[in-house]
Amino acid sequence: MGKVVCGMTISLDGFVNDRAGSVGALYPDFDTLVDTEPMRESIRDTGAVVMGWNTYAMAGDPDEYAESYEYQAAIFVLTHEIPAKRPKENDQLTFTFVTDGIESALKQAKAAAGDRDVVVVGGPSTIQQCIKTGLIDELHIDIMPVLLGGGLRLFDDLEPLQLERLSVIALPAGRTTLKFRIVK
Amino acid sequence: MGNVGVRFSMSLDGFIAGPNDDVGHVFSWMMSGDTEYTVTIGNQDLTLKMSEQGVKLYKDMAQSTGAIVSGRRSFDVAGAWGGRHPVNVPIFVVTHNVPQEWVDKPGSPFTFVTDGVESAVRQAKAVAGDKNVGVGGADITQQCIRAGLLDEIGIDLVPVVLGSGVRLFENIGDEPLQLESTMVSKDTGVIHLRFRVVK
Repeated sequence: MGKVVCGMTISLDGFVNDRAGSVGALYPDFDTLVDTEPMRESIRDTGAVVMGWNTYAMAGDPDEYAESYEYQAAIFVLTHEIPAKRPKENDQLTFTFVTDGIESALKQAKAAAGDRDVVVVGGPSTIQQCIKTGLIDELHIDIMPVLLGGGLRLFDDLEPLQLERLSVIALPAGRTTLKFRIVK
Repeated sequence: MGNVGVRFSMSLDGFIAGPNDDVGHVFSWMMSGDTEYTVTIGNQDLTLKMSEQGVKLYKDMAQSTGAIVSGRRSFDVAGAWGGRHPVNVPIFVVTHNVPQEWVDKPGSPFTFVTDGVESAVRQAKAVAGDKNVGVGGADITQQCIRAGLLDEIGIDLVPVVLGSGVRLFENIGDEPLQLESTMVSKDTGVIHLRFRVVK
């Protein structure tokens, strides 16, 4: 059975985007990130992806997922409404729109992932909901060397959690990849 | 000329103390290593237990610090460090109300600054000379960031989510502040992160 992992990139002050909603300041290494060892490992280990609607909509044209998303896997999108037009899919990348809540999304994603991992890629509200279910095994947090001063906070409205550090990797552009296991 | 820096033990979710100013979790790494190191607070000795690396980082910090700027709240919460901060250097406390009992006390390391954080940092730099100025307290740190006074940020990141408490980074202004990562190091119960403020 694979793990359920929540992973996001944050500024040192804990934000996943700036006041204007842009993630640009957190991805100066956007073009090379996909070739880093932690990202290659994540792509290799991931069997299903869970994302909130806002994260899904960040792509602009959802047909781009099938063409260029780094995780070519089963994607589960949490939403209230299923979009009228179905986005493009391929042999590996499929979409399931989940309207009955986070636990259902995680359950379906685990079934689809099999022995591989489920990765919850955001946004903050989706990750907070996931953590509250108690179904998350690991947090993979990348910290970027910038203070944004505002935006959406990743860790908000949470109960205390004890963590166990698994690994610390310093990457180019000052990106620090931290992996923690949630102690249950 | 030294630099102006902060060093905080912080939870993954950004708190430097939990509810009721509880620092048990964020300081637990300083009690979980195998190397003892005794500091003196007031007239009391406190034996820390860190890794060798943790002790070295602490000693380097203490030896390179020439003065401290503190907020009034930290001063009060710490009970004025019993009149002797572990780093044992002059301390400039930013406050609106000067506690006269500490002004009159012989040998008091405290200077109370009532005309703001910039003045306190300027006075601390003058005393520190070639050494560094350490800034303490979340609110004063935020004021220093807003005023562009910080050169270095040191975070000892503790693997815990506290959920609430005293947040270090808030009210730091509207403009993003670019940092440069200068050190990432795993240690017992903590991850040392060091940053330089890009100016």
